[in-house]
Amino acid sequence: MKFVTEFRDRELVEREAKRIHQVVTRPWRIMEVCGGQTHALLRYGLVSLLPEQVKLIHGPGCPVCVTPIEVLDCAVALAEQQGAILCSFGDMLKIPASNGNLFQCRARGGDVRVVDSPLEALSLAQQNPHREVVFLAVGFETTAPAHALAVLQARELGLSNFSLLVSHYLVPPALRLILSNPKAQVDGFLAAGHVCTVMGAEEYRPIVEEFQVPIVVTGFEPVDLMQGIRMVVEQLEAGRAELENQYVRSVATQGNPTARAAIAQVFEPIKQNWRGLGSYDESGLGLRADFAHFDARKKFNLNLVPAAANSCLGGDIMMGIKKPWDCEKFGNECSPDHPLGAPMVSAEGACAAYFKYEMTEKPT
Amino acid sequence: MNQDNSRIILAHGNGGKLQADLLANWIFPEWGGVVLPADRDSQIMPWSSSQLVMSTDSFVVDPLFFPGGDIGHLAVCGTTNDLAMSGAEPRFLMCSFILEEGLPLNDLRRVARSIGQVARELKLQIVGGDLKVVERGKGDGMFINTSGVGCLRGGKTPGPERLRPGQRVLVSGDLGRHGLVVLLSREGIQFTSELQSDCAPLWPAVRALQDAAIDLKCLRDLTRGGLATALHELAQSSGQSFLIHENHLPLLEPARGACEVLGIEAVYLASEGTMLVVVDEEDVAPTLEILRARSGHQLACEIGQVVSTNPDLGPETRLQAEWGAPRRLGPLLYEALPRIC
Repeated sequence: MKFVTEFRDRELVEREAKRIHQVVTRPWRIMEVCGGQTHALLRYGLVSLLPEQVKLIHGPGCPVCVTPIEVLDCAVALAEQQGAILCSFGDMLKIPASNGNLFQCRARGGDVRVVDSPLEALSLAQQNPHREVVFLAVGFETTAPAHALAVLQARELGLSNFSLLVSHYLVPPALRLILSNPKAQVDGFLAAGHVCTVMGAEEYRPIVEEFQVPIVVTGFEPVDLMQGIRMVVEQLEAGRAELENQYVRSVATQGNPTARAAIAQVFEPIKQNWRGLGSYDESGLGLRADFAHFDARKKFNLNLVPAAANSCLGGDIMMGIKKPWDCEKFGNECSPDHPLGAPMVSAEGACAAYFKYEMTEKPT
Repeated sequence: MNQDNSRIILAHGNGGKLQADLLANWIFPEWGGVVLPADRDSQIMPWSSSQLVMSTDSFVVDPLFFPGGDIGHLAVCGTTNDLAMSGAEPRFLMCSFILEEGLPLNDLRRVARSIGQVARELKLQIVGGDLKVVERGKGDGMFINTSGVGCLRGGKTPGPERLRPGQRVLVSGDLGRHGLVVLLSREGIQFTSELQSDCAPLWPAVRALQDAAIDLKCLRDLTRGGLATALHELAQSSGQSFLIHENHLPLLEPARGACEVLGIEAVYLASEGTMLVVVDEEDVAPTLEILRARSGHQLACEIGQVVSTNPDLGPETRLQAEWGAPRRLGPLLYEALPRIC
């Protein structure tokens, strides 16, 4: 298949791996930021092609993993107590909230719909003028443009029964957070190619300079990932710390100006709570005051009540401090069919990926 | 007074005059050529075979009509395919409808027509059924249940108990088309117009293999949960394991592309006219020759083999990619698609 098979070419992958073996002289810890990259690394068995010195740390770039339970509790309350039509991407339905997940909420009578796009939720609002339709808008910079466009369209259409329950996150603050934690010890990053397709790569340059850490914008196919890792290792071995772009076929320097403009028009940076990691200033996106009437939290006067903490090690796992197998519940009490924490829920969560690809024990 | 006679109303399900007219005018004519026995509360059928095979299935697919088929087509194929997977010739079918008030009668006729077409193709007798109507909002247009009776034709019956290491695993055609088509038509996503459901009766292919005296060790249709789930179930019930080669899996190019874009693994997508066939190594070539000569099975190929089970790991299915260690394939966990059959 054009533009796919070329990037899964075994010879090219092996050539990159060989180069990594040639240049590496000491241990390095490299974080792939995005859960999609984690999944691909394990699915294609790329980790086994790397020299022992190169360790990959699986970062916090999975929206399902970082969305706090209290946001899901709000979603359940909207569907059950406010009688709203609660629309969400499919993955979010599986995450356990304080009182069961959204599938269970639906079974109790909550009107929960799976949609593929926020625009589908918008159509539902048009078709059901007498009902409130709330879209659970979670994600990083990748989903933000579509969410922004949905709000702009809703305004244009004059829809008063449509709103977003927003839980949006930004990648650069997460990298700063990880780099500021002395326990995390990350030597270099593979930045998420799709996030940079939207935002461009320049916002990572200050991080590279401030922390003297190599960041390589990287794609999601085996050749992309191997090449990205090779570029980080080469920088580290040469004592360089630069911003490089492996994913040139998709990432332009300025990103996608139309998408960025939509985000900037609708959203503004806010203090955001990351599940397992804590709250940080300007680490997320919230609706601007102009669009407050599309904000479900304000509209329905929802209070985020901090949910009881459970014993999930998700935060430490996303910081690279612990591996899934360091958790005593991993693979026993906690598995994809009975997830106790978010990294086991999403297919892109580190725990689910480790479970699926049988990395259940620390290699000896 | 204006009357809208084009839709199902509650009285169509009351067992009285309207129901009799509905059956006589909208359903039975579409089953013409299919033998309908005398009208009575239960059917008496001739039976001489020593072993009878039964199967039942309910169909709630949304949408009712999709590229390459409809719920009626699916309802006959689904149940008769289950009979064929035991090596049985489908003989009799019971067909029951639950209709939602407001269903266009023309939709009912189209579905009945599909049922009649497959039944004629299979020389299947429809010996009875039922029809109920539920209030608007209490159904989803139409649900169908079919129950089938078939008879074994002699020879060894295929089944998981006959699986042994070394046997070869074949598929009778490309994977995942039905699941994908239903998903795409439900979500209104249009990748390409050429992708059609593979929904089709499997009995003709099974009979052709039996006629050629192929020793069919095991057959399994790849419906809900797809290839991965079928293999998982076979491994669990047989105690044997499977090794499947990812780059042997037949997929149409548009299906491959749709899976990439949607992030779906094709091994979990349902087929409704594709089966797994396990045979001894020497039977691989004749089996593929017979299958590939038949419409709908041109892409039949060998995808892997039965292997002995590692006692530490238990029965399992592994998928070997082009490089790296073979990864374990579990059963489908959460339905990616709400309702597909």
